[in-house]
Amino acid sequence: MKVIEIQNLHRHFQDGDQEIKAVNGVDLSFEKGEFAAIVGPSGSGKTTLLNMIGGLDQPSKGQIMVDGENMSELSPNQLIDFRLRNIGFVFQAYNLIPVLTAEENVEFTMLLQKRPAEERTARTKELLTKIGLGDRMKNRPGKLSGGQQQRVAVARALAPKPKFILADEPTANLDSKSTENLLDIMAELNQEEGVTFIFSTHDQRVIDRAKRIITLEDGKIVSDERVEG
Amino acid sequence: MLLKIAWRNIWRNRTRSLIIIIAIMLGLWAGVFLTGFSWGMYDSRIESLIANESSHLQIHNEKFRQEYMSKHVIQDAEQYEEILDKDENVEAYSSRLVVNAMVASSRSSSGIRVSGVDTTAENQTTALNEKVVEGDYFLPRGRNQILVSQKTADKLKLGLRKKLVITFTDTQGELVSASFRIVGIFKSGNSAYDEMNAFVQKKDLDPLLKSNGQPQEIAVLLKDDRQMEALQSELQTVNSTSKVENWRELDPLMEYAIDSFDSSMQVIIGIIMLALAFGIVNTMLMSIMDRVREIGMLMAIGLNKAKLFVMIMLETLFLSLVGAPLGMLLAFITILITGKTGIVLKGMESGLEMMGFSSVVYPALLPDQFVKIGIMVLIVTFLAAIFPIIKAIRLDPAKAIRKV
Repeated sequence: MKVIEIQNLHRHFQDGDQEIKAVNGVDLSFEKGEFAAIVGPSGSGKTTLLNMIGGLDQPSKGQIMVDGENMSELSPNQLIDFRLRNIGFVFQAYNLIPVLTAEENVEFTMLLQKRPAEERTARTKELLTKIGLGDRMKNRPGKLSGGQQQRVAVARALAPKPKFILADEPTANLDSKSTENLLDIMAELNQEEGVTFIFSTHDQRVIDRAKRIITLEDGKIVSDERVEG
Repeated sequence: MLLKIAWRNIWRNRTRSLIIIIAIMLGLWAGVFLTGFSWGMYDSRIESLIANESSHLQIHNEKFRQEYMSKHVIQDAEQYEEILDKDENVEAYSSRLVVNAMVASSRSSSGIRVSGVDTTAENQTTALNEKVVEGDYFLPRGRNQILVSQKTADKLKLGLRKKLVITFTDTQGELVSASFRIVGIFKSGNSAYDEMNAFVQKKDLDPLLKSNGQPQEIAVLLKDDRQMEALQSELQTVNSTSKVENWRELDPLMEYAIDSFDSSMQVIIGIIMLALAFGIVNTMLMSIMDRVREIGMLMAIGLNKAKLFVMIMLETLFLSLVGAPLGMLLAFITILITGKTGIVLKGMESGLEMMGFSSVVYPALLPDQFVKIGIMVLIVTFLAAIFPIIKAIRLDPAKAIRKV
């Protein structure tokens, strides 16, 4: 079942007289439960592509369908709501709301979705236990390590059961041990929850764990490999 | 949750929030206290004006206050007195013979307003006896007694029991002179009033003035000044040759002072509010700029603009809602304490006394000012929050998240 379907996607920027084609004719689709990495050198268009898939940027041309819904036709306000309902985000840093505890951070998006309190509490507890932070629920981000914070961010992204999760360089600020730990957790949750994970990354450790590697260069896909096993 | 986030957000940068909270507190304290202080000053002046000088209402022949000639007596004075006797809201009234005269001692002379009063009625109306600082408030025996102010006594270089001569034009237009003996010296606290007034007994002045007991002035003191205008209208209908004026009309300068008090207070409060607005805008802008990436993240994960608006508005309101009540409470306490103890304006006594103001000010609470200032703070906070909110709402989440 296709979760995301991208057709002839373009994103052009004007830089003075020059037109920069950050994304230049991308056709791509993602199935439910994929664990995919978008890789490529700096300036290859990874981030721009991810922003458009995440509804943070609008394409110049082409369309993105999520579960049959055309994102390109949504207004900025509708896009905020769309993101809330369908997409989980894990950023490189500054993922969490510093004034809320781990528990409250995970609960936050569910609260925005107006989910009932019992469901929120149960889901938060379940996820925080899964990521191994069941005993740190009342801690604010400042009291957690970088790796722990990223794990909470993954739990927060997963909490409202989105259709897919976009992770933009999620391991960029982590040491090896934390990276391994985070990837283990993400792989496990990907299996258990059946949610699609899409990474943009430079990190070989992430690439090694991905089951699909999409390589982007100059805004175009140059390879799209599926890794068996 | 937004409430929780907003509340915790304002304590993220404790110093910055505390500074603006203290600024709001001090601003409001200063504003409210200043209002209370100035009002206390005016209020006591109005009170003393009514209690000691003009009373609430005065009745004159309409020509009297233009020409100040004693021939312009009040027509049908008995009818006025009948109404005043019956009215339960009238605390007291004093019918006076009034003449502009020249008083002279062997050393000096001075123009003065001499009032012939009924001692008991005058006492009840203006408490003249309480102002006597030397001698007596008229003696039971002896004719032609006069009370002069300390200021006049000094000017004429006369003391108690000394004689002075007063010269004036009687109701028939004849020049009359008579000698009076000083039995008491008074001091009212308003040196301008003291300088202009002297008191004799009605029974002594009447034959000299040949006014047949017809007064030039009736001063009326009320129990409740809310009834003032009603009684004024009623009295005005008695005789068309008379004019009934209230204390505001009698002392237009005082009314002007009260009006200008109102507008100067508005200007001061306006300046405080403006400073408050700038302080809030500055603090909130700094707070937004510090959190660009976080706000970007919030927008990315689904916090819509309305909720972002509410969150920042709540943060701004919290700053005011902590600072403003503290400031008002502080002002309330300060006014309460100083309202009892009074504030002595040292070194300004004579200047203030010349204008009739007491040098001890008892700040007074103005409940409606409290409410007004409270509402204004809320409005100003609301308006001051708008600019930082617009700044936040306009952020592009994709760019904001990556902002270095």
